[in-house]
Amino acid sequence: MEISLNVIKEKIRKKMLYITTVLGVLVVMIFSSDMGSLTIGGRQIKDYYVLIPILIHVVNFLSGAIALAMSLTTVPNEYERRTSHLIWSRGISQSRYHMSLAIGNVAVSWISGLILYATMAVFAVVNGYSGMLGRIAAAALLMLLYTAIISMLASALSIIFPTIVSGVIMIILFAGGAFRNILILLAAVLTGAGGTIMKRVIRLFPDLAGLSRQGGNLAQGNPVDVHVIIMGMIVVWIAGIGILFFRRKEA
Amino acid sequence: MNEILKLENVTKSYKDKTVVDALSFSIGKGEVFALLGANGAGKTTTIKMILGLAKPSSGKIEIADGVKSGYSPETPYFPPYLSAMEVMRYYAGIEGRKKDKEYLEELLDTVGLEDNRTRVKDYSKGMIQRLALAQALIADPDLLILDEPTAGLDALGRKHNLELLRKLKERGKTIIINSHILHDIEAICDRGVIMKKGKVIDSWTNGVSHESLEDKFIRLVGEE
Repeated sequence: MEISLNVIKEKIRKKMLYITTVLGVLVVMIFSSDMGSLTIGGRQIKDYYVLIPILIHVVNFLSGAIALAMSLTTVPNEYERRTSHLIWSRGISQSRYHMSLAIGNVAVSWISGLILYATMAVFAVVNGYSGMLGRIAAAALLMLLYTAIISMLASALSIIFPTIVSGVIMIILFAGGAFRNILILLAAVLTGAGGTIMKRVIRLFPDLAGLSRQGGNLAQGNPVDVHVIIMGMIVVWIAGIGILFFRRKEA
Repeated sequence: MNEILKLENVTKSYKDKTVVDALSFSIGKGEVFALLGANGAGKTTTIKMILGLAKPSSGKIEIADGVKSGYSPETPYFPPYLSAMEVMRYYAGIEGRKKDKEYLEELLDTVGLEDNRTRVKDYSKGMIQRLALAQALIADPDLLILDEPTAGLDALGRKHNLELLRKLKERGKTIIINSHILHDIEAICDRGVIMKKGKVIDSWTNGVSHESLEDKFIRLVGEE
């Protein structure tokens, strides 16, 4: 508990959370106001009900990016500055230590994501869609799963790989997951071995796009595909197993 | 004298390089033991293996049952935004101890950090060193392992720390010190080993020889 709380305190004190969140809030503001408008087929869309699924995709993507930036360096920093020495020497197991750090990462990612969702909710009210607040809150639950996937995977990989390697893997997983729909479309167009390989590779990406789509469905009151949510939970569970079993040779 | 720690033929190798080579020594309860040697002699690796921060490639390290240890690193890092008291509460919490404010304040007073509200970022190197010592004492350890406990301290700070170590010795604590300041070693330690390139090249017992530790060290470590 202390270790997780310290991760949260550290990220807050380092102002990284503020900077990334302010950037995210700005994007939400631009999307939610007249400053930015969506034009489909030459028609300007101003209906918040129509905009909200797109906004959810954008906000989830931002939350995921913040989660990635926050989570990738926590474990390596602990070892680099040898804080780990004072933890290991107290008989704290690596599993407990790494999981505590990962929980701290997830918590910080959630705080940041919830701030973005709160901004979105404020703009929903401003635009006269107070009735959507409950559904936006429900969609926020899927954002929690979205960011937990990124944060837990980043924490797990950062235990065993140097930051640069885990960073590259995570960017591929994140981008692949967030734009999974586009990749699926591309794979469907491709023929031959390329298409087959691509279809298999896509399966390795967590279905982040699917989670955002379900968030949009929730916000609009449409049916939700539970399968996507369960798959997301399984990814978090697998990352959690990784955090518990991945080991560093030395503190 | 009851043995509290015993190393038997402990070796640590990284790929082709052996940094600790067949190291053997034992430490009795209540002893203050010095690990001596030039940079790269294998002292810190030895400490890491004793603490379980690194696994020996071969050999055996035995710590007597029920012995609690405390560790003060050479270059401690504490979150700069925390105060000394918050650092103490943090480590007490990790150890699952009740965060008794009075007890933690007493420990901070013991190491000379009466002002425990100043943030670590405003601490001098010497104050951080004292905080490192204070956090090592939280569990009231039987075995204290101190890596360069007087490094970076001014004359007063060094004197204070040595007095503190003497008090801990009087209270029956077993202490392992890794230090380059041989004068301090002679002032506080009962005996020790001198290491060179991962091996023990000689042992030293306080007050036995007319030769000063510094002369002995230079003679042995300086030889190629």
